[in-house]
Amino acid sequence: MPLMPKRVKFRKQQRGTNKGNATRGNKVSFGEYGLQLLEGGWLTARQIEAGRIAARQYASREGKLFVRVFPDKPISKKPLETRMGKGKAEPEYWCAVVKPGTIVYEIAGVPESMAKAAFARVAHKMPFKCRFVTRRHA
Amino acid sequence: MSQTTPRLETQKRDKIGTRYARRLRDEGRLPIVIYGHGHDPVHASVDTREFHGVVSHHAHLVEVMVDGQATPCLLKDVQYDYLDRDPVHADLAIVNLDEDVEVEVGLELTGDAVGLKTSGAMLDQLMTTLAVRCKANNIPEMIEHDISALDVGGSIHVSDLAMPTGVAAVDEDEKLVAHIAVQAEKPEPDELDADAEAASDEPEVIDKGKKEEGEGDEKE
Repeated sequence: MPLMPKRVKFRKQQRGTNKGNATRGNKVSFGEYGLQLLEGGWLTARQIEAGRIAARQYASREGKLFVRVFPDKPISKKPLETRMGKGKAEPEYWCAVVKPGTIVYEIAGVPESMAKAAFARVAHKMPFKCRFVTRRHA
Repeated sequence: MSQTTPRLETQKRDKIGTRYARRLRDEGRLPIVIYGHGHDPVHASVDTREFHGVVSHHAHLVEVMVDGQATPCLLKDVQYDYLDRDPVHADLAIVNLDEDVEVEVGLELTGDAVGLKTSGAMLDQLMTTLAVRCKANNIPEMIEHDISALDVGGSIHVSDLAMPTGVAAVDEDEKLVAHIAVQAEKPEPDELDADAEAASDEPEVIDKGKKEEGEGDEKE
C-alpha cells in the first residue's frame, strides 16, 4: 500500500507553485542525524518509500528512523494515446511538496558512520541533491 | 568577568532593515541586537566567523561593548538560514553576573551502556537539552551523565542527573531523559511490489467535497 492520506476533502488538486526555501521542517528535531534536501520539487510516495527501505535495510534492526515528509498531493495523469480535453484526468500517484532545506529522514540510536552510510544509500534514491546533517546542540 | 568569557567586538548599525542586514552579511558580519535591563535596544554587528567560533563552543555568556563599556550578555537566540547552517541574526540580552538566569544547556550522555550490547537494543534520548537555573557567571557548557550502568529497560530521569554546584534543573524531576528499549522485530512487507496492485486505491473523500466528482467523468 503506497503512502497516501486516508481521507481527503477533494480528490484532485491543481499543480500549484513551489517557491522559496523551507522555513519549517528544516532542523533535525527527532533523531541525531538527518538527510536534508538542497533542492525543491515533488517527492513521490514511491521515492519516499524507496528511501525508507534503503535506510532500514542498511541499519537493519538498529536505531530508529523518522520520515519527516508525507505525500499528500494527488497528481493526475492522462492515459497514453488519449486526446486532450474531456476534463482533468484521474489521480495517478501521490507526492510531497518539498522545498530546499527540508529534512526528509532522521535517524537516532546509531553511530555517525552508520547514519552517514545509510543516508548515502538513501540519497541515491532521491531526485534531488541532498546533504547529511547532524542535530544542532545548545 | 572571568577570563574565559569570550569577547565580541561590535560595530553599531545605523541603518536597519532587511536590505542593510543582507549587505552586512555579504561583508562577513552578523547583525545582532542587544537589549535588556532597561537599556534601549542597540542594533550592532559582529564578525560572523568570530561569532560562529563562540557558538560552536557552546558559550552562553559573551562580553560585548555597549555604549563604550564591556557588558556581559546572554546569547538569547540565534537564527539560522534555511539550511540551518549559517547564522543570520542573534539576540543578546544584557545580564548582571550575579543574577539568576534560566538557560537551555546541552545534555550529553557518556559511556557505553551495558544494555546496548543486547541485540536490537537502542538508546532513546528524549531530551538533548536541559533547562537550568543558575548564576549568569556559572552557566555550565554542558551537563554530562554517565550511562555505563544503564541496562535494558532502564531509564534516566531529570532527578538522576548530577548537577554542578549552584546549578538547578528547571524541568520536572520525573521527566524522562533517556531509556534503553529493545525494538520488536517487525516483518517488512514488500511494499514496492504492493504499489502496483494498490495504485488504484484511493482515499475516502470527505462529504464536503463534490460527491459526484468521480462519477462526473463517466457521464461524458
